[in-house]
Amino acid sequence: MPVWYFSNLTFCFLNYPCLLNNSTIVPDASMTVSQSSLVSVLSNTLTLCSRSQKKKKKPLFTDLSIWDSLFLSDLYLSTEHSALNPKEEFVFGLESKARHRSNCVYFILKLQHQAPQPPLRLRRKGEEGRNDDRSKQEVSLSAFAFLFSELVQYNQTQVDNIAELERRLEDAGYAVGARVLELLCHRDKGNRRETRLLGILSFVHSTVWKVLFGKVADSLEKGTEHEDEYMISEKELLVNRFISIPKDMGTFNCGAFVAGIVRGVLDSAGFPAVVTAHFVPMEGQQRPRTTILIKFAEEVLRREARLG
Amino acid sequence: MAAIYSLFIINKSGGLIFYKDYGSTGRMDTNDTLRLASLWHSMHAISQQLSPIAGCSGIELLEADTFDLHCFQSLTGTKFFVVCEPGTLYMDGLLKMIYELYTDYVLKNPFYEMEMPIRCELFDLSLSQAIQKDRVALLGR
Repeated sequence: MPVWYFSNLTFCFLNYPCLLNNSTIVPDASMTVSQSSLVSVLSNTLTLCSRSQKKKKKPLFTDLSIWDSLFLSDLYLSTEHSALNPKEEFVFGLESKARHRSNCVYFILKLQHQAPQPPLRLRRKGEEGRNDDRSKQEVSLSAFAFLFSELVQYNQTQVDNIAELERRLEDAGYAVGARVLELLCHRDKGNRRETRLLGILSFVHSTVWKVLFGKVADSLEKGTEHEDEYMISEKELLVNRFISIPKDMGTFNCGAFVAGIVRGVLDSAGFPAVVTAHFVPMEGQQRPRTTILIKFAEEVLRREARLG
Repeated sequence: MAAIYSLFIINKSGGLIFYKDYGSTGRMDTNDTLRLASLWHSMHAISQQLSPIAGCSGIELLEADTFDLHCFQSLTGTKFFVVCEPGTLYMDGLLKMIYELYTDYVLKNPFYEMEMPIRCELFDLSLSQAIQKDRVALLGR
């Protein structure tokens, strides 16, 4: 019976990239596996090495169990043979049915009848620290301000009206948000995923804000009028520090960029929402406060109610 | 004792982009301020040619009976000059600080077009705060 080696097992779903080492698997020669048997085979024989080799190895199934039932029910098994090595490689993946959510799990198993490749070198504790130092280096605020100013000016030349300019800034922020979530989940949260509404909101309010702007947001409030509205308030957004909006631009707010970042984080984490930035005038203050208004989609509230 | 009468900022072609009046006497209307600005720009340029020493960068201080005029020219040719009471001290420092405010709140503003009149709310706000602070410091109150 051939022994199958996972010479290159990449377990990645959008929020938690992990690199796996070599593992051998007791062969289950049957190529037609049902979803449940596949999962059980994997869970029984595969161990997941997290970032450091020193950390305790966790069985895969424990990680799967942190998914709530909704996501797991959306999985289906799709198999396709790799075009490169039809005999040697067997690629299959578990994909989420809801493609628009783009939360998908891929198990790419290159099963080879050969000796295993040398193990992928996982970063050890010391090197990780060095990376963290690099990542915590600060950038000049002036450099960022000029770059952001140029971003706004460039987009102004491309659009005809203010609403479109706001949408463009939001889209730019969305891309940032999606990537920031990936990075922070891997770096700061130990590859754990937020499944509760308050969890993801406080993650945005503290962790994301701290990493992006150097401080936690001023306040996080729940809307009084609607159940699905939450607000993150800030005395003055960092991106708006040097920007004065001319009178003829009305209610336009360059904080739309930050609203886009928040939307990117929430969307990629599985909490679709509509996020906007508003100026809120305060009595006694010359400059208005900025509020990021988050309005969650129906499905999020339903799921939250079901989770209790 | 020490008071600023007015502040002018002119661009590199001599056009007035910012004017603020602080004194109560000698108010000028817009046309006069524009004329004054371009006049000063020309004088500044001529003085560079007239200087007996090579490498002159232009007039920095003009002293008259009833006022002093301090001028600061940035490397880009933007000139900041302030008309004040005779004998006012620390005007150079004030001009440098105004230059810093200009680079912060005007140049980093995406809605400001270069060489155009300055219409930035934040610049006005921080400028009045700076002048106020200075006025308090200079008057010793």
